[in-house]
Formats: sequence, structure tokens, C-alpha cells
Amino acid sequence: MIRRRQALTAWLFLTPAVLFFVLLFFLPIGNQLLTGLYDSDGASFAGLGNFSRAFRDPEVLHSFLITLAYAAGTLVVGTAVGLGLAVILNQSLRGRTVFRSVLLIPYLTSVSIIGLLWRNILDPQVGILNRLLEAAGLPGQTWLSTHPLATIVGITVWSGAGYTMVLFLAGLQGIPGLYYEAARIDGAGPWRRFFAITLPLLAPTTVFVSIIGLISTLQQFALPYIVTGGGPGNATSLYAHRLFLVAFNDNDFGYASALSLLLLIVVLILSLVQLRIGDRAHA
Amino acid sequence: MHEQLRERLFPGDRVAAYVVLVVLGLVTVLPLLYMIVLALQSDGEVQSGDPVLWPDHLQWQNFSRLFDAAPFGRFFVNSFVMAGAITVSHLIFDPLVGYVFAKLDFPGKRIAFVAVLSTLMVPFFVRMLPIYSIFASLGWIDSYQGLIVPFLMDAYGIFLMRQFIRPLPDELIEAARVDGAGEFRIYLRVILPQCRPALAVLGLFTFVFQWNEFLWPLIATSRTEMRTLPIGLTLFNQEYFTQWNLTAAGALILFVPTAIFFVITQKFLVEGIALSGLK
Amino acid sequence: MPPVMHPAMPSGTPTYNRRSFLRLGLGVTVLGAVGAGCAPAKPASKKADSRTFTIYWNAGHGYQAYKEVIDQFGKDHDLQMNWQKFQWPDLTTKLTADFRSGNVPDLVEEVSAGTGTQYGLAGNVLALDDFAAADKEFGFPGDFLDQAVVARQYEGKTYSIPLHLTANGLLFYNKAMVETPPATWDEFLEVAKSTTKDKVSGCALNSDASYAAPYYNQQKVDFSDVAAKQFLQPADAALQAMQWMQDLVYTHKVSPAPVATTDYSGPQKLFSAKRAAMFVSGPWDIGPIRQGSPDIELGLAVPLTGAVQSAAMAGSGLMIPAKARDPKLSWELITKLAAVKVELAATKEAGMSMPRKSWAADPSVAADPNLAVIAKALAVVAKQDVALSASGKAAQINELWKKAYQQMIIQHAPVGPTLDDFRKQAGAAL
Repeated sequence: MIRRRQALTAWLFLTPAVLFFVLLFFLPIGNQLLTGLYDSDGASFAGLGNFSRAFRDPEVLHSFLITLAYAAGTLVVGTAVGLGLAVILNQSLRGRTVFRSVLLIPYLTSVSIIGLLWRNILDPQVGILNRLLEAAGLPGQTWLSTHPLATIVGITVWSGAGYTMVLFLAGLQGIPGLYYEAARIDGAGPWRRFFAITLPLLAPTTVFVSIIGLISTLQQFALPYIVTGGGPGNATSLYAHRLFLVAFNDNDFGYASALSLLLLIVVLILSLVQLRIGDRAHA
Repeated sequence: MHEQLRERLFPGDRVAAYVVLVVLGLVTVLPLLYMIVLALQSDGEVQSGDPVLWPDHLQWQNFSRLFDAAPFGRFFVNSFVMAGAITVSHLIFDPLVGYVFAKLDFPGKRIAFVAVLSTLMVPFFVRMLPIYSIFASLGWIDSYQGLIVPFLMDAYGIFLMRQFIRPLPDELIEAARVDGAGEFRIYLRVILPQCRPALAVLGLFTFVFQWNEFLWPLIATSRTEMRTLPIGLTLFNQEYFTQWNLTAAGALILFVPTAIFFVITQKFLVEGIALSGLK
Repeated sequence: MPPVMHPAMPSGTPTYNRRSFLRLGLGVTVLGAVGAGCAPAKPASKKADSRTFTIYWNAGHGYQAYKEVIDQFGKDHDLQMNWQKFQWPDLTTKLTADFRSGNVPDLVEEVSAGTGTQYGLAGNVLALDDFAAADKEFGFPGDFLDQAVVARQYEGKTYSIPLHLTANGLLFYNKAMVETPPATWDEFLEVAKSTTKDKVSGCALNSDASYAAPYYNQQKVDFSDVAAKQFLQPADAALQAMQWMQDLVYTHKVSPAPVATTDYSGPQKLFSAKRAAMFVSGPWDIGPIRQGSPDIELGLAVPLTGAVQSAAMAGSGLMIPAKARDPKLSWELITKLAAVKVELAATKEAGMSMPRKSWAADPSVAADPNLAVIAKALAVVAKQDVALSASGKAAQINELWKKAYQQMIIQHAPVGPTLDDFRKQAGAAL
């Protein structure tokens, strides 16, 4: 009786959401995927040809690999920086609210502005950074040419570190102080306590940070599009950028749909794997 | 709020902490300050190829030039209506759906939740064209509903609210049920008031992302009166070069509402309360 | 965790519930409206729309001369003129979406010759020959420079009308650093070497692949021969041209390695900062140099001669979407925008060069030293392979070429294998 009432309530409350997601997500996406079964002109049935084509397309394979590298780099560095900042700023330091706020600003800035800004700063010839380095007697950098992908990782970490930090701060505040007291009585030093208490108890937060990070980095498109245009060569032509090019540059919507479904599958699998690892770490 | 007691890790660790914070703080802030320098340069300084640390004359008129060149006031209003309406919609629906997934039991819950989460994993431009075709046949191009409806709620907000609501004690709900409160009333009067910090953060994130959205407003509008601010900002770039000073000035204008919203909600976000459920 | 409180529980009143559900119902209604869109759409009333005339334009070309024509056109026909300006990539994205949905503008500026052909063969823009034939006074194609017309035709049909005509391949030089401008490749290298000093480079290459065109054109290399499925042939001449460009950066070190960005203004900025003595580009860089560094004595010289003297054609056109509401009206606006007196006004206003023969013959053009140099460059622009646009793969192949070019010039990849790779990939794309 109560169960039935609950189920009824649940679906009643969900009605707008069901309508919304069906009409504005699943139907359009399904429609796109259907075009994935057709040729670029949409006329002839290509079956799974568009899917098998993706596995033979060197540009797609390349973009997939560098996207994995980009995601891995961003997740590792971003998580480390965010966690480090959270640990530092979880202590009673003077001005910590100001630091927390300042570090969050880039996350609230539009990616197109961030892209334009860093392009202006990093340009080896006409950018401000090399001018400052020169004034300081230091050699100039050419990161956009020599380490383009790492540079994009750097900009991503720069803009997202504050957000990761805030998530970890929330996680840290959820750890009962009791545990630390007990460990201290047992004679565990601060480093020991960090690895024995803080890190394991933060595992759920870490899983969340990495799943959300993974979902957004695997879909990253705007930043390289604005900063490097995917170059030099195809060094920063990430998967979503490739997908966008296939759709809007090559006008091959069937193929683009197939590529987007493959992305969906990869993200789902990786997220599930991460969840599993997280669960195990938790247990 | 629990706080870790400070203790020494190594001699001088407090100084080291400050050094790290100040360095990272500067790395964060200086590029943003550089935008102000860019915005105040003259056209000549921008084209000169010599990066300018400080303009000869501060060109405050760059801001008014924006408003002369295009109806920026109108763009601002459009952006505000779009981002505002979407934010309100998220604040209504995301916690409601989040509550259902957090606290109610019903057949199909698992599948429904996974289905919602899976929508996070598809880039927007994949669903963009079918939606555009439908909206065009509805006559919704160049309309506010056309700008707003594709973003009425999203999986991230629902997930955020679910995670926040889940740790709230079930006894609250049980007690209300025993008192004979209706299900919607329980949600409205028992659950929602607990969610203020999370709602503040949800509102901020939603507003900021929609305020900065580029692709959909570009596609869904083809009249100047319906353009939004981020699209308006591209009007100053010439075919072969970018008017950095005007672009930066526009970017600063773009940032103002975000900054205000951030200051209002900053407490919840920075204290980490609102995100405490995300684990 | 938020503090947990037990809020006071006033006994429920049914009114409250109903009102809350009302609010919920509002959202459902909005969504229901979307649902209606999935049913066969009734022809939405287009009454208000029919009086609007929409034009897509490049944001850099919003000249006063065109504005006046467009405003007047609106008055004459009682139309509300909706002149939308975009950056080129945004315009392309928007147009792609429009073509797929059928919700199209009335007139569109074409980014460069060939784009219209590609759209036209897919049935998205109209062939304009019948309009032109019926409109003798307009003078198409007779009064337009041949290269600009031919590049827009395929199998006897013309899918766009040239609006602007410019050339990439002009030699910009700083008169304070370069006494007599080089005319050949050998002279260019010599001058570049002698002007390269401490902080000054002799020249500056662009990061954008389209800027390689004058160089390989000058070695008589054709970018594509779609009929034969070949690219950058003859191969040894292509190798020579690209090797020479790479050597400018890495062997002779007379040009800095360009940076991969989405903007083309790197060389112009170095030149404006007096950190480059020469660069090869088009007329569009004259304005920014004058504005950024009025003290530079800018010299403008005709394209270099390698095996031949040559430049690469650039310049936008005008096209009419196939589903435009009143193509006749769109055509009429084309004839007004591409009239010689408007061309001359735009030239006077913005220095833009134009495709009409009567424009080039106008005394005001002939007397202008810069325009005279540009006109000479226009006379030697290389022919374009119209079959490339017709193949529908031009954008995709250009993207592959961009990759190859940046690999050679920015990443110092070996020229021979990179060109071979490009040929293989481009061939496969066809």
C-alpha cells in the first residue's frame, strides 16, 4: 500500500523530467543515431559501415588516443592540485576564504574567454609571457608548439583546480575528527594519518571528481578549438573536435552520429570501471 | 563544521603553505587581470605586435564603443532572460527529481537513474540538429522559448541534488507522513528547506554555464534582437585579425553578472557545505 | 552535512498542494508544446516572417557602402532587413544547421570560390545562370575577371557571384630595412638573410596552411587534380617548394616558427613590431599595419617569381539558398551589392579589391599605387580546381592539408613523407 503510493508519487514527480528527457534528449539522440546507419547524404543505408569505418580512420584513432592522454593528464594533475589545495585550505590559515574564492574564479569564466586569454599570453612571438620572461632575462617558451597537448592540459587544470578543491574541501569536512584523535593517540604522525585516514575516507569524493572530470574531458572541444584550432598538425585535435569537424566541416552527419555513439559507450564503460575501483577502495 | 587542527608537518610548513597559496593565487589572478589591461588598450597598441604591459592612455571608451557598435543592452537582456529562466527551471525541477531518486522507492528506479545520468555523456551538438529542425517547424527560432527549452533541467543538477538529499534522515519524511502530510508537501516543506546551500550552488553553476553558452544561441537565433552576449562579442573580430581590446572589454562586461552571483552564493560554495553530499 | 532540524509541521491544507501541482503543470505544458512539434507540424503562420529579409555576412565586411544599399533595398520593397554578421566558422556552422532544417536565410556571403559549388551540387543553393542571363545590364560574367568566375562554375552552372577579389602572395616589406624588394626566390632568401639580425627576422611565415599556396603555385604546383585523384603535383616541385619554406625556418633561420592558433595575424604583428622585415600575405593586412605602426614605411610589391610569377586567389561571393522565399528578390539585391559604384565605394572605404573589370579600369583604382600592385597580383592568380569543390570533400581535404602544413612548418616533420601521407589521406577522402 505504502509502496504503491510511493511509486505513484515518484512517477508523478518524474513526469516533467520523463517528458523532458525523452523529447529533448532521447528522441533527438535516437534520431541522430539512426542517421548513423546511413551514408553522409542520408540517402543510402550504410548499416554498421559508419561504425567499422571509425576503427580504420587514422584521424579518429589519433584523436581518441590523444583524448585519453588529455583526460588522464587532466585528471591526475587536476586531482592532485585540487586535493593539495583543499588540504592546505582546510586548515585554519588567515585569509583562506579569500584564497578559496580567488581560486574558484577561473571555473566561473567562460571557456571562450579563457581560451582567447591564454592564446594571448602564451604566443611565443607576440604574447605577454615571453615579453615578461625576456625582461627577467629568462629564455622564452614555445609551449604551444613544442608541448601543445600538455599546454591544453595545463589550461584545463588552471581553470578547474578551484572546483576540484571545493569538492575535496567538502569531502574533508565530512571526515569525523574522532578518527584523527584516535590515530594520534596511537602515535600516528601527520603523513601517516593522511595516507591511513584522509585518503581512504576521501575515496568517494575522488571517484566523483574523476567521473565528472572524465565525462567533461572526454567531451572537451571548445578549449583546443579556440586556443590552437586543433594544431599544430593534429596534436590537439581531441575526439569531440574531430566529431565536430566531421559533422560541420565534412557535412558527414551519419559518420558523426556513429562517432558520438562510440564516445558514449567509452564514457559509460570507463565510468563503470571507475565506480568499481572506487567501491573496492571504499570496502 | 569540523576543522582539522593545525599541527606542524615540518619546520616552516606554515610559510611553505602560504608560499604555495600566494604563487597559485597569482597564477590564477594575473591572467585575469591581464584581461583588464587588454581591454584598455588602443586599437594601435593591439595591432602593434608589441605586447603592452600597461596602455599609454587608458581607453575607457572601449566599453562605450561596444554599446555603440551593437545593441549590447539588448544582448545583455536576452542573455539574462535565457540564463535566468533556465536557472529558475533547474531550481524547480532538479531538486524534485533528485529527491525522487534519493528518497522514494519505485519499480524502474535504477534504469531511470542510469538513463538520466547517461545524458551527461553526449556532447550537446549531437542532439542539437534534430532539436533545431523541430523548433524551426514550431516557429520557435528567434524566440525565448527556443533558447530556453532545450536546457530546462539536466543530469548534473539532478545528480547534485540527489547526492545532497540522500544523507538527510529518513525519519524526517516518516514523521511528516505520520502527520498526514501529502507527498508534495513533504518535499516542499521538509526537504527543500534543508537544501538551501545546494540550491545556491546549483543556481550559480546553472546560471554561469547558460550565461556563457555559445553554440545553441548561435544556431537558434538569426535576428539581432534575439542575440545573446557571447555571440555579440564575436562581432568585433575582423576577417583576418581580432580586436583584442574590444573582445576583452566585452568579456569583462560578460563577467559582471557572474561575479555578482558568485559573491551572493560564495559562502555556500567556498565552505563546501553545498557539495558535501558528492561522494 | 547541513544541520538537521525538525521543522514544525503545520497540518496540511489541500489548497497548498493544488497550487504546487499547478506550478508543476506549467512545466508539463511547456514540454507538451515541444511534444506537439514531433507530430506532423502544421505550417506555422509565417506572416510576420515574410516581411523579413535575412542576410548572412562576414563580420569583417560590414561596410557602410553595403549598409546603405541594404537599407535602401528594404525601403524600396517594404522589407525589414535582417543583416546578420558572423565570423566565418560560425557562419558555416549556422548555415549547415539551416540547410539541414530548411530554415534558411535569403542571401548568404560565400567564404570563398567553390563553397557555393559544393552547396549547389548538394541542392542547397541555386544556380544563378538564368538570373544572370535575364539581367544583361548586370554584366555577368562579361564584366567580371575570368578567374573569379571560372572558379565558381561547374558543368556549365554558376553557383555564386563574386563579391570581393583579392590575392594572397603580395610581398610586404619594411622600407627602412629593405631597399629594393626581391622579385625572385633567390633574391627573397638573400634579402631575408641580410635583414635577419638579433631580434629581427628577415621574414615571417603564417601558421595557416592557405598561406602556402602562393609558394607552391610559384613552382607550378597544382593543389589538386580531382579527376586524376592527385594532390600537389608535380611531386618534385611540391617537395621543392615546401622544403624551401621549411628551410626558411629551420635551416636559414630567417623566419620564426609560426604558432598554431586560429588567427592569421602573427606575421602582420611581427612586421608591425619591426621584428620582421618582410612577409607574404594579402591586402587585408594593410589596414592593421597602418593602424598599429603608422611610423612604418610600408612597401608593397608584386608576387615573387619562382618558376613562374603567381598568387593565390581569395575573396568572397554571394549565393542564394535553394529554399530562399523569393529568389528573384535575393537576386535583385545581389545586383545592387555587386554594382560597380558600390564596389568603388567599398574600395574607397575599406581598401578592398573587387572582381569587376570596370572596377579595375576606373581611374581612382588605376591611380592608387597599392591597388595597382594588387591588380597586378590579381592578374597572375593561379587557377583553382573546380572539381575539388564539386567533390564535396574540399573542407575535409583542406583540414588534412592544414595538418600536413603545420607538421612541416611548425613541428619540423620531414617534408617528403609528410606530403606523401597527405596525398594518401586526401586520395582516400575522395
